[in-house]
Amino acid sequence: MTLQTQLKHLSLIIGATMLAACGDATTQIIEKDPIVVPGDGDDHDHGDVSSAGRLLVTSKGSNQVTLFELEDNSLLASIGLTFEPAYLYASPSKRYAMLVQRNDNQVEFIDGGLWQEDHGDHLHPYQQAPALMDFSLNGSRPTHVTVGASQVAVFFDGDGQNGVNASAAMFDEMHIGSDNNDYPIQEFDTHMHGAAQARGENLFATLRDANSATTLPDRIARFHAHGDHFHQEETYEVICPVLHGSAQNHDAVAFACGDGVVVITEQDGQFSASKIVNSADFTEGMRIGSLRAHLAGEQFFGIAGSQVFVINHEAGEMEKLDWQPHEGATLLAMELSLDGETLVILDSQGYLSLLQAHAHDNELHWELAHKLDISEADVADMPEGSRFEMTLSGEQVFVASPIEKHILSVDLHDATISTELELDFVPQKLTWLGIVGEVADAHDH
Amino acid sequence: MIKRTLVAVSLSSLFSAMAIAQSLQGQVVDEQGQPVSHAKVQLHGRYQALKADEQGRFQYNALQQGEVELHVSAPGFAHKSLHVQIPEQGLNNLRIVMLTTSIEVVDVTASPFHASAIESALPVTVLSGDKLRNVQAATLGDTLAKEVGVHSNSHGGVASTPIIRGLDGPRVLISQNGLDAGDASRVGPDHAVSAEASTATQIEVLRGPATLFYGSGAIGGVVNVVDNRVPTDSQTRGEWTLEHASVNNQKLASFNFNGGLERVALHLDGYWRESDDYKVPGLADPDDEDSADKVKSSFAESQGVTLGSSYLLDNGYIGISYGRLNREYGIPGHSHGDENIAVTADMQQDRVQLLSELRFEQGFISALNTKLSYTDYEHAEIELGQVGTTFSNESKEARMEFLHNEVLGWHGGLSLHYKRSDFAAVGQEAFTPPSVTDSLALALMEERHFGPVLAQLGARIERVTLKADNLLFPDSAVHGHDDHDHDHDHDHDHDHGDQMTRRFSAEHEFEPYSLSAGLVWDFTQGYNLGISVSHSQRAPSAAELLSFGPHIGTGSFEVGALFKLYQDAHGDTYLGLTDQAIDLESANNLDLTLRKFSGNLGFILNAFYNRVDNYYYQQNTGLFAESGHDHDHGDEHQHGDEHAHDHGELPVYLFTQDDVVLHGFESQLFWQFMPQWKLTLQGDYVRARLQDGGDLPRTPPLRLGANLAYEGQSISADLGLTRYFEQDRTAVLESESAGYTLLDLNLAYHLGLDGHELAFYLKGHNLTDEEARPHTSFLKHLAPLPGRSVAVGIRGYF
Repeated sequence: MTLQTQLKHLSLIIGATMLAACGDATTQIIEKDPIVVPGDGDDHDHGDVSSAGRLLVTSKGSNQVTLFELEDNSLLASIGLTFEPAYLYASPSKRYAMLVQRNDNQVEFIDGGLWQEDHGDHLHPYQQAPALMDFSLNGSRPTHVTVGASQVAVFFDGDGQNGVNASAAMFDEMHIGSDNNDYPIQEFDTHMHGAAQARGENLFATLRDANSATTLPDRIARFHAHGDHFHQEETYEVICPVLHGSAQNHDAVAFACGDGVVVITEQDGQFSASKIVNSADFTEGMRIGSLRAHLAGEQFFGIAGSQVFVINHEAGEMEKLDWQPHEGATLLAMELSLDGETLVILDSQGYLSLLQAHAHDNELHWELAHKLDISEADVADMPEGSRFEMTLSGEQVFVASPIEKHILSVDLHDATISTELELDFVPQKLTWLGIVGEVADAHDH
Repeated sequence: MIKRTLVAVSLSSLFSAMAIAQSLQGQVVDEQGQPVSHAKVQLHGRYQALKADEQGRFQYNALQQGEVELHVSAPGFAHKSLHVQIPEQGLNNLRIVMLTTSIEVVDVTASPFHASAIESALPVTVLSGDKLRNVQAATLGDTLAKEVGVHSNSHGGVASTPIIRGLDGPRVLISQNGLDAGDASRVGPDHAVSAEASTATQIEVLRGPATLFYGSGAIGGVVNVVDNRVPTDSQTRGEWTLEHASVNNQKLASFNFNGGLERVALHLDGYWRESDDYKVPGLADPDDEDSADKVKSSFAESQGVTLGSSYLLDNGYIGISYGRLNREYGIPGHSHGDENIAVTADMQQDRVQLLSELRFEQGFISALNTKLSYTDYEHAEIELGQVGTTFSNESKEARMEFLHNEVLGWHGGLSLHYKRSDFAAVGQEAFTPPSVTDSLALALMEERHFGPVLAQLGARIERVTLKADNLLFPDSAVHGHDDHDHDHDHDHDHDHGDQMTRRFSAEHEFEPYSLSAGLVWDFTQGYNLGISVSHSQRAPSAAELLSFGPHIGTGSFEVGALFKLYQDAHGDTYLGLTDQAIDLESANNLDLTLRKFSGNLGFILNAFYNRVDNYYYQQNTGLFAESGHDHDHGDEHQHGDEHAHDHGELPVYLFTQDDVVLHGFESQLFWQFMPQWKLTLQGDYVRARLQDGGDLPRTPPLRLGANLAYEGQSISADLGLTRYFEQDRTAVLESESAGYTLLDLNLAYHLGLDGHELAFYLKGHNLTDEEARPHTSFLKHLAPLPGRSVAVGIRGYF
């Protein structure tokens, strides 16, 4: 198996300067970052870098995380974090896991060990053992982590009681891989439970009036990265009361407000913000609190309690999506498949709904394709503070059941439940790590 | 016969030049006092030559008083150089006596010195006219294969390149009109040369070090393919050929056209050639009973077209040309064993050349020669429709020669030469990392006649920089074979510790220099003795330094000299970055030439001794590496390796440096025993050995040849017999090669048709259908030379 990784911060000059006797000949060789093959590594052509990927699962009440090799469902590694992670995200390419230890003001990163590197003419896949990275983030109450095309934005809420202001950091996988702290941070002048979206050199982040009664922000600003800080380029006039939730798609960045969704679009280098107000389906007190989108898609998906709304910002429309939940089912999680073609909803009754898009009148309409019962247990037995959780790979949905202490995998296309991973702990959060899309053939250099 | 068209300048244009001009009148005669009609008379410092009339008479007007140098040539006569004092009143009855010769004498354009086979200190061979047309082949190597001192590496007839005195690759420069061919042929024997013989007007070979003119790549010699792509006159003439050969069903069509309007000259040439796999006597691979009587993947199809135009001046010309060459050919010995999947190469080259020659009679500078070129080359190796490896070479070259008028009897000048090559190989067999090589050189060349002695001196300094940004060195790529019963799972049994692919950027700077001194002594009439002594240095090529990867063309895993073999505590060998200096290769060469060039019997005898220090060559390390894919065709053949590793492993060859001695001789004897009959005998031999014992691989064997030629009014013919002796001086793990004899016959019937001359011809090669496996070939076990072949063709001139 070809297991290789890049060794960090190594750029040493061998400085082999050699001089010949007559008719000068000098040679200078500079050694650059090598590519390292740790552990079970060889460089032969077996073409078996795992395409199934790996699963990182956190354990309730523990700072230990567990990684499974999905190729053979084997236990791959158990890694101890500094603190118990509250939230778990995957980095843009799904190589790294980002483990948010909110109450302990820290974010740690684990290299899943599977990635491919662009070698110009081909993609070279690597497979290595998972490892805790040296790179970590420290700041007050990191909460929302959002992922752009190649960047990550982490919003630190700050602490109003202790007078710690909020901040936001924008970085990419290169920073994680090379423990590079040379990324920009925006310091706000107050605390807030905010949100940020990284897009190119811009960071769209929330602003809050320090005198506001709520910790939720109500304005949005655009910041431009300059070295280790940002310049606030513009603040959008549109008010976004009790802002919570954000997302970005191919065309726009969106923030969810109490009364609608603010969509920021770019045209000829100029950004403009407009609001799509909540549709007539919204009842009193109802609002969109979370947004989802596919980076290559044109729609946003808003989650308002257990209802889902499809937002077509170009048409300025918001439309309710009927995902046909069973009686009493609350929406626990909703994600778009990595190819953007399936909307996956997990509910509290232990059902997984797979919705597929159909184009109609140049718009995508989503219809329920499958509804699967992914738990045989009585949902009433759900441990206190636990719930079903899911994560998606390119082909599958993995659902962790804290009741049954196992993980099921569901094929996204034919909706078959295909594997079962038994756990000896109560799963909390999980994320899939691996190579998205087709894994290039491993080969020699 | 090619009409020898010489540039005649209208005499009237010279009359008007200067009022107080002196004139020079004379006559060219032979030893019997008979006039030599249409002799070419060249005045040093004048661009255009004069053609004498029927009576051998010529006249120059508008000359300065004082000494002038004349160079006179005519077919069948030895060239003659003479110095003449022009008195105040002019000179009216100069008589120039030419000596007949049995040696064909054609000037070499590859050297700024006046040089031909009989009048230079360094040995040269020139092929032109019918002689070139008779030997021209699909590849440059096969075209020159029978020339004295030159062998072909016979790469299945598709990519053969010339070997000069046992040297090839990065030591022999292939140039096109004096500018680097700009291909990838110096990097691998399976890469074709991008110069075409069928549209060339002459091909010149400089045997021995020519770094003075061409720099690092020419330490072993130069092959210069000359064509008329930048025309130097606007006279209308042309040539066309249609030919079919039996052994490989080769069809060839080519044409050359020259024309223009007074000051504007135009040139157009093109060719198209297609051939199938060629037949061989017996089995192509004698160890494989299933192998056919054809060499698989020896087919080729190529075509090229060149356009050029010049503006003609009174004192020279300036012109530009564009040429495109496409070549698609099989790579023999590159198939997947029994599967017989053909691997083909698809090559394309675009070449722009700007050439100019200007002469000045006044002032210090007598001539300014400028050559510029841009070449964009790419070839892809394709299997199963998929591009496996792509080699590209973008090169730029500029050469300016400033020749000065005579100073204290010396002629010569300065040459400023710049060359840049941006080379990349991408894919499975990219054994060399991308690299950029720049070279800048300044050379001084001077010659002077001291009575009967011509002295030639030269010096060149050069700066070569070679940069490679991404040199990969996977620690695990190379391994030993301690146990020979390893199975296919052995990869998994390896030590599973940390393994690393180290990455480097390498920057080399070399300052090679060359010094050369030569004497040509006309010790008695019709004879001369040439001595040439040179010290030449060569910067190693990118492939020799930086290689690290499988090279299927040579059936080996090639590792450059930047790496070295070490031994660990357990006595196991491993590869690491070298701790030794990367040295220049230095050659000290002594050449002796004795010639008799007048009369019916002539000869040229050369002996050479060439000691090369820090010679780069590939040494078998005994280690093995993955081939990158499962080719099993033949490392055991090509390197005579006894171990058959048929699961995609290749022996690792490391470029190392050692002191080497090459010595040998070349001899040619020409006997015009009747006016229409000429017998030529020739022989050559080279011994290439390591100073500390051992021989270099693929060294040409002793060769003797005889050629009997008849030149009648309308019929010409020649019969050639060449014996290649056995080669038993072999390198480590190289097998001996048996000798063989080749019999060739050329026949032509010439027909004059109203300004159009036609030749119907027949060429027979290897008429005895002899199995010939050249020792110089990487593929001798898989691809013997073609069997009996008869080609018929028709050629026209106008």
